[in-house]
Amino acid sequence: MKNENQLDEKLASDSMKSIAKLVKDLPEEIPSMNWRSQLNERILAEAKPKPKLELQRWLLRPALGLGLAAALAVAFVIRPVASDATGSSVESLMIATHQDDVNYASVTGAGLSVSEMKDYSSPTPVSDPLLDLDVF
Amino acid sequence: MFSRILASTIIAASAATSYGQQRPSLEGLPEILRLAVSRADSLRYTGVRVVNVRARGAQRETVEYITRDGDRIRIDFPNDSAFSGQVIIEDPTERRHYLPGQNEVRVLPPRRGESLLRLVASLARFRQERKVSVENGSLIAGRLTRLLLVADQRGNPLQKLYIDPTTGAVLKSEVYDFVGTSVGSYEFKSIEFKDKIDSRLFKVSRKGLRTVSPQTEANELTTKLNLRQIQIPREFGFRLESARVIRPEGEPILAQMFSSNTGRLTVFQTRADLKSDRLSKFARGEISTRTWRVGGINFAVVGPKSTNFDRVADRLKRDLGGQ
Repeated sequence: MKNENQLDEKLASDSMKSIAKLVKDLPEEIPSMNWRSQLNERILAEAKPKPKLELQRWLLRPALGLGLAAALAVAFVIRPVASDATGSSVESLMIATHQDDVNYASVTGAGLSVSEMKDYSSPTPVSDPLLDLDVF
Repeated sequence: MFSRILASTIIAASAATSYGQQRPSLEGLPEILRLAVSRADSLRYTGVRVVNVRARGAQRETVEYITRDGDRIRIDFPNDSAFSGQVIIEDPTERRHYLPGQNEVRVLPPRRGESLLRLVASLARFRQERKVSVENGSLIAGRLTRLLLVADQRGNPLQKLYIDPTTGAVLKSEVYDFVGTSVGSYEFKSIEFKDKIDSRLFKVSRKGLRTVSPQTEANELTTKLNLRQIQIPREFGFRLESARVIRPEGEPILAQMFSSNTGRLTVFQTRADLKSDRLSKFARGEISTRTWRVGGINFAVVGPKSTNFDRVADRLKRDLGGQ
């Protein structure tokens, strides 16, 4: 409350009144219609989409062209890994099962086959500990 | 999947060319490979080998204790292995897999000679398409080896064999796919050559053992799943190696794997929807597929591209009443 009174007193002083009068006497500037029209035209020009020709030039830049060619090669020339071949469709499962069997046989020889690895992986105690030779 | 197909196609396609051929010709092959093939049935040793196989993105490693006496082989597993206690004994006529936990012995076709014979058959068939070179190999199981490198025409490795030049033993083998990734490998970590191996190691005597053959297993599964029994006539040289259900959830698919001296094929049957064109698409023209439908069951045969495959597929289709 005390601060407010002090502020009111300062605003009512002669020096502040003269400043207020100076500001009040300043001429009011109204933007001309001509100026506003020019501004609108500039805004419209800036908002227009870039011409198609410019976009085409950009697309045909060498680096982009190479990138596009590589992408097309990956998509159509290089045979990609079939994404659904790794899924669980009946057909992909059949091919994968056959391939696994052939691969395992080519590597393991007389060792465990793929079906043996999957079906028989349950350890069995080798011997009864009481029958260890150390016991006797 | 693509690379896996390519890798196995090398093997499968080469195998397809020599069905019924017991011993492919060794003529023109490098001396070190001829040594390995000629000694394959006379080596005597005990050793530890590590097998690594990659399948569907998963890597599997097993350690095997090998005892070999000429054409007989015994495989045991370490105590900390998932296969501890099991024993595999194989001779030229059969493979016996003992499963003490189930008190069972599974009698299967022998498989030991497959990989080496297939390589030889492949080289004989694709002489123009394969480059074979020999150079100094690394030290494997304490023995200096010779490296036999099989590559495609551009020099990309397809298979590497590290062979002991003194004994002819293949101490390490690696198979690659077409992007150079190892499909699988084995390597001996230790090996001790012997003059004599105790023949009792190749006999297992357990009272009350139940003998199970793949055919028994297949018959049980076909009965349980209400599917058809499948047999490939002997004249085609294929023996049933295993039968299993590959999709336990939903509509089951029964897979029966058959092997011959130089090739493998798989026969599937299921009541699930099966699209022939999709199967061919996944095979990518590099392996053969054949499908047909009888009595609500879809059949599919997948195997190497060969006239023998076509004959087997035709015969199966006819025997099962396919149109």
